[in-house]
Amino acid sequence: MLEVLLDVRNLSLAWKVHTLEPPAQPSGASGARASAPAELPPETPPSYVFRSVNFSIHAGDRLWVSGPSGCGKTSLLRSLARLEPKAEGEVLFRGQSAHGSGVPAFRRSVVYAAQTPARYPLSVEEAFLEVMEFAHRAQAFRRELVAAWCARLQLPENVFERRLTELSGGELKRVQVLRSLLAEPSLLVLDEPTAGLDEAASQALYGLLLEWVSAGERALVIVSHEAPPPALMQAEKLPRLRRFQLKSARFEELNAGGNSLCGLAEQEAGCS
Amino acid sequence: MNAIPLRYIDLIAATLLILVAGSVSAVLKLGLGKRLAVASVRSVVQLGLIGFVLEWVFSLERWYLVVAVFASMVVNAGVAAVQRTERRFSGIWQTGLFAVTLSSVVTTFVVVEVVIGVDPWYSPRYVIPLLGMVLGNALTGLSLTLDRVMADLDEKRDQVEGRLALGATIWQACRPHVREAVRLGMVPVLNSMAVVGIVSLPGMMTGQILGGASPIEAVKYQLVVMFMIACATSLGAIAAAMLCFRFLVTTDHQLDVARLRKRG
Repeated sequence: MLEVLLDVRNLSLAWKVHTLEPPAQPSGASGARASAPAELPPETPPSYVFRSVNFSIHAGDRLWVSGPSGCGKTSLLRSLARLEPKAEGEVLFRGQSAHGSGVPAFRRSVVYAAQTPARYPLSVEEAFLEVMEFAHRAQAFRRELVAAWCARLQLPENVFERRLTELSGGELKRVQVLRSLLAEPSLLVLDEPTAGLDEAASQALYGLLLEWVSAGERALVIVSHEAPPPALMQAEKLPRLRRFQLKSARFEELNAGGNSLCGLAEQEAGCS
Repeated sequence: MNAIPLRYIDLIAATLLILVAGSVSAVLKLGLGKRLAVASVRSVVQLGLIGFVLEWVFSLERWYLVVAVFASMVVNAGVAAVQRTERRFSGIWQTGLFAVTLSSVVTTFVVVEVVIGVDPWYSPRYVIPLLGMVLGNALTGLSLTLDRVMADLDEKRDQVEGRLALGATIWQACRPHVREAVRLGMVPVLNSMAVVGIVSLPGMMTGQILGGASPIEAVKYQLVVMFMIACATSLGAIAAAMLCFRFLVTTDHQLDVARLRKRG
């Protein structure tokens, strides 16, 4: 039995309460409505971004989350990382929910990398060191190891000296993933990790991620508009890639209940 | 030696200066005519009123009157500091009031009691002008800081949350922005301290010299006031920034920018 890393229970997030004017009621409501059938009442938007989301993530899991633009995938990932103040429900890491001063440690275990990484006036090396300082492990920073990762992700050799504000979008994304790895998480939650990367860089990134997830009790959650790369789908000794969709406030596993023989075509068919 | 008393007719002559400012606005179509008029009338009314109030308070020398004037000045300063900011959160008025009170009360008390050694402690001739000098200057720094903290936490939320997501505590994540805002709030005081005496002669010193004091005595008082202002500004800016920070974060190390709204 594989260990449960993350348990998500009843996670919900309401849309911000809009202070729009209530739709004007026509005078003599019932009569007016009957005489004007062309005017349909406006479709009420769902009041939840997502509602009652329940799932568990086991060691070795790779979760591939898709869904229409603006449906709240980012909000869901932010809620997993406990960054969303309005989220309700529970996110348990190894059976523990984090509160108060336990939250930073929780976030080091469940690291979320935003779609658009922030640029601030630090050099890349300082940005790496910053992560180590957050974890009180500044002495344990191994520059050669990180340099090797950088080379593997095809980052330029002088990347350590560059400032975050000077990096290209694709470089920044890769640096962000490496910073996330430095936090030594058990779960890596990535929002569109390959947006802005060319094919070769994407392959290199997925290769590194697969290696990372295979090397311990770890799991990956990836939000993407693209199809999952074959390397992540058919990984040796790992459970099958799990595909989820968030749509109209519902978060569903697309290939839930299928057995391990479930093929690529079947999975593709399950995804709209 | 005493200053030449101004007659009311002299004041009317001085309003010609405002008319010059008004015509500049009209010629350049700056559209400031109305605001200039309102500001001028306001300053006449406010200063006129405080003139009468102070005459009265000074003549009576009662501690409770001094405390009442003191309190009303502090409250007005707190409100004014908040009114200058672009954003609001519930708790911002308490924040402004607390920061102003802390900074002005502490510094005024230290100066009046320890540095100058006023007797009695409430002597309005010292307490009220000193407080006024401190408030007028600390207010600027405080509102700059408050405005900047809110703007940074709002607009640079991605930076704050980027650090949080990598395991930073909420303080580690917000600290660069809090620090920057306090720094910004201190800039006007530092600038004015750098040019004082070379470019500018501060109002208080000028007043004392006009009133017949020796320039050396006036400079001594001015130095005390400058250091008071620097102290009050830093205390006020730090208090405002920290309180604002506390109001915008949750106990679960989250930044809740939804608590901020733009001034409507």
